[in-house]
Amino acid sequence: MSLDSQLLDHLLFLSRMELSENERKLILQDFERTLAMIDVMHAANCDSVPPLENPVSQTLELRADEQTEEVDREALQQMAPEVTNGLYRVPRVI
Amino acid sequence: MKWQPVIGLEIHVQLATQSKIFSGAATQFGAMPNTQACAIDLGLPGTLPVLNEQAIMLALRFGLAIDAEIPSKILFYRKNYFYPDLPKGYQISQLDSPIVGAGRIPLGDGSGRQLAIERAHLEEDAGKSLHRDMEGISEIDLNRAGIPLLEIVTRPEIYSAEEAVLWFRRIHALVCYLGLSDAVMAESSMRCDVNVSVRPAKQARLGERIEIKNLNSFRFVEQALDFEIDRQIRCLEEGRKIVRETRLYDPNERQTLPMRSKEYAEDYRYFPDPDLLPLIVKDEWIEDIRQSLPPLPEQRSQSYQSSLGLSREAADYLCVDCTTADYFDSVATLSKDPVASANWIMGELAFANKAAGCTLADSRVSADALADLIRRINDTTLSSKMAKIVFAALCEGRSSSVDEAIDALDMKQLSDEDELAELVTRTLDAHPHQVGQYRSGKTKLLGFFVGQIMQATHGQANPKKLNTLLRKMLDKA
Amino acid sequence: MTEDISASFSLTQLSHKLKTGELSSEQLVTHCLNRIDKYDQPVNAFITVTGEQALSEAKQADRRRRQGDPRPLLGIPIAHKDLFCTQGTLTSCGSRMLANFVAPYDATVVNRCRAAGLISLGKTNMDEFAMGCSNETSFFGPVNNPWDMARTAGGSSGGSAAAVAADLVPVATASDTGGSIRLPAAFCGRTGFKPTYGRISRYGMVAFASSLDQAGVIAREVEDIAQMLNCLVGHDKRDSTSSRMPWTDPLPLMQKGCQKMRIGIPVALLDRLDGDCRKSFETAVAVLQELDAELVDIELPHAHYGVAIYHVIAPAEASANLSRYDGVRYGHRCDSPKDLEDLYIRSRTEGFGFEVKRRILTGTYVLSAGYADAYYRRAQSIRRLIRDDFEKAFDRVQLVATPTTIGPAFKKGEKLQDPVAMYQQDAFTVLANLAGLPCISTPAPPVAGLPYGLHLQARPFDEISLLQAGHALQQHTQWHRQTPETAT
Repeated sequence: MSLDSQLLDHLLFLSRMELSENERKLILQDFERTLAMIDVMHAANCDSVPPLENPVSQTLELRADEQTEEVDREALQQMAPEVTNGLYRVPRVI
Repeated sequence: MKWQPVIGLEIHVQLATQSKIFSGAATQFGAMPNTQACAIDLGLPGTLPVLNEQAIMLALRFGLAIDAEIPSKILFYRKNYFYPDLPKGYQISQLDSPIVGAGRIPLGDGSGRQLAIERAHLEEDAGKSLHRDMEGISEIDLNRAGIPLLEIVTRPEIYSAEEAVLWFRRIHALVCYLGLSDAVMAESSMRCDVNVSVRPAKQARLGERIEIKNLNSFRFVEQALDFEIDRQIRCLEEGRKIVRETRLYDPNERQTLPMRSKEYAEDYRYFPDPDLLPLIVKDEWIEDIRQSLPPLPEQRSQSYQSSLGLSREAADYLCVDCTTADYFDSVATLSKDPVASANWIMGELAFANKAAGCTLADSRVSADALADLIRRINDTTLSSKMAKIVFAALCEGRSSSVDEAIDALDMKQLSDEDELAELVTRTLDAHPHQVGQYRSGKTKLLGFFVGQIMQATHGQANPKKLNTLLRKMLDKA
Repeated sequence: MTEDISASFSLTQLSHKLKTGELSSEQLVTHCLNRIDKYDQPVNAFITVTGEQALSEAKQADRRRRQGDPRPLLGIPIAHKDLFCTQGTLTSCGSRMLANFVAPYDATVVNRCRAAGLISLGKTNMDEFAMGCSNETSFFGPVNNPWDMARTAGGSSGGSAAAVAADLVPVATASDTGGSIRLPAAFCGRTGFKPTYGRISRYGMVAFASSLDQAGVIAREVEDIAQMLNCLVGHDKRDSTSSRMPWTDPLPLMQKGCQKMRIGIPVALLDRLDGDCRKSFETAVAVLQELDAELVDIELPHAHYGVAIYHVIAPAEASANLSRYDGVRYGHRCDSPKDLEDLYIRSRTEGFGFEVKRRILTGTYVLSAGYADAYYRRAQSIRRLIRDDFEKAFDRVQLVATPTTIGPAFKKGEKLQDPVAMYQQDAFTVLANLAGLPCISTPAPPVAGLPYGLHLQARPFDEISLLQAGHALQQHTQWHRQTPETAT
């Protein structure tokens, strides 16, 4: 597998980031090496092996349906970049 | 050419839980902005989701009610995309192995028609972006973020706008009936996305489909589909192609418009959420829920029609939710008059509740009281006119029981034959001229005598008995 | 006096001295703060020091102790890796993104330490979002190895390891996603412990890769680790992956040692070691053998895929975990964004360093349409094979031993241009994260004058065997007692 400039742009769009020209060059070059390292996994014979998403082999525990969280809006919004009247502000969505 | 529209529905139902699906924050509608969004709902660093038991139970309740396949193990996935109302940058949702698999919903009109449900899965709701008229700014309220949603996906086996609404209503009724949700569409606790395509009537292959998002009333579903089906047919007849896209319905202009399309295709990169382990569905949950399921609306409606003699309209009305049907059951049993019970519930009571802004659950008129009222009409204690006055007293809370109201209003109907006979005699004696006229053929004067006696008794004379008695005594000589 | 304290920097000894009144918590905390003043400037182990608060807590601890409070860890100083949220003080995660983030809550780990009476001196430096093994990706600069300031302290818990190595603090919390506790512990000549996945709550610990992340401890001695585990282990209803497995106080069982223990050595994995490292490893396991453990050759047929699949799974999870940093509710926000996309892109571009960006891109790649089956899902299948390899091995042996790293601490900057060489540093450690195993790194004989680590792994929830073997080794060796000259 490899990473071309177009795919890199797509990945940058999906992850909402940008790279400088220099970083771009580095990433394209490093990616090749990283993917080569990763690609050794294709030698493994695992087609019939179910994936293991989590090392814990227990069932999910459920929480009783109770209101347990008190919301201190002021405390939670203290580090918000931009808030007015308790609402987070962002550039217009549509 | 004849065209056939093909429609599928995706219905989002906010489940009626006390707390959110993955946090212990409150879920009431209409709270001050961001006062019900805790650290977990805001996606603060280090916070983790813990699944709400009740969300699982309500989803399973739906699954069992539509006779769906329930998997033994369910998984939650992360669906990745950026949006300001999505705090974590991913929505916890389901992909493979959703909590409710394939099932079916009967139409319940005795026709035996069913709609195939493809699946229903649990996910967390997003917050709300408000775009008030501030230049270039949106404001984000995350109170809704994390409210449990059940997304019900039907098979694309609906073939007209009218039918789509019929099924949407059916699912709405079932959701209310099972107590899954308040399903108040004005509060967005139930909303619908529709997928619609059009194909030549005899073609098996489906046409390219359009999704119309966020329809929150039955009327809008119908209008949006009517417009969209028309638009697609026109498009195809003009030889143009349908391009797959997402559209929004503008109820003011009564048209659908494309959402500003994104430059790139979405790629949600679903993967199992490592913060949530697989959930093993316990057999005892299934057993308990199955035991507690109420008889389904169509079964109950059928039995009202066949064994109680109600009309289909009345039976369906009463079965729209469990509260109404249970209330009716109590009134009908106590009053022993199902038809009158149904009429009162659909008529006077519904009207009064609407006027008072309350529902059956918090109505002042208990099932016991309404049953008493009907009994008092049937045993002729009350005329129907008097019954309405007593009912008003109950609604206004002036009396707590029917008999108390009758006493308080001095409303007992005068039915005693001897007393009535004496009144009649006295009245005839007082009006010899009119008696003469009646007897010489002017029988219309009967009304005059009734009026005199009603006036004297403040309307409490039993009209039926009074009429009989008057005729008997006037015709005597 | 001061050097006295440093010479006996184990929790057991400190706890004893506090109890007898030979030492007060105030003296101890003052001692540590003085050392931080003196030595931290070159080491750069701390991002935040909360001296004043620590001193006032120390006075309070002394009062309580006099009133008969018997908690063994009462009044002992600790430092927290800067990814554990601490209410009211900075939790930066080594990133510009969170350089102003003050959490309105404590991590469960922090809570439990406080409940045990431990006093936090501050927050330790780390690789940005724990992504790295040399501590060179921190927004707050690299951590220098107290044994040789030109070398890395290891990462990502480099600050915690260096702080303990330089005797700035007797114990520090840390976290481990692919080796981030054990590798810096090995590079700094201290004991690092990562319990079974799920043993210690992740609540309030900023996530890197959720199915691999595990909190743990770096300290001087195995006994210190055991005391800390008593305080940290336990189910937490705020973490769905936290375990309900019962925990037994290991302290009374420590003396059992490693008699009759079968210790497996995956010989095929050791091929890549150079002579000095191999010799150090062999010397260390030979001690265990002398203590009556039995060494057995074992195979882990899929272990050589470890680094590859780790660099699929960890970035995949990280790419989603780091999506929440969008400049809307907290964290870095760019100046005057011109529209929403601009807000996202510039806030994230400015807030994340290069390595974090690289890993987000890798994670996005392996999850994206068309690649997810070949990479993400396939990696999870191989992960199962690796876990099954260990399960089979643990039918025959109690512990699996390897070195912690392929070499001792390398020079700063040496591997920055070669991410793959950097990633290979974790070859021995990632396996335990993939399989969820408990593991320990304890000092082995130095290599070229630098600390080196012995790495032991056990079956899930068998922390006790690790502690017993590690303790036995430390009872009969001095490697863990050595202190870097720069810090004396």
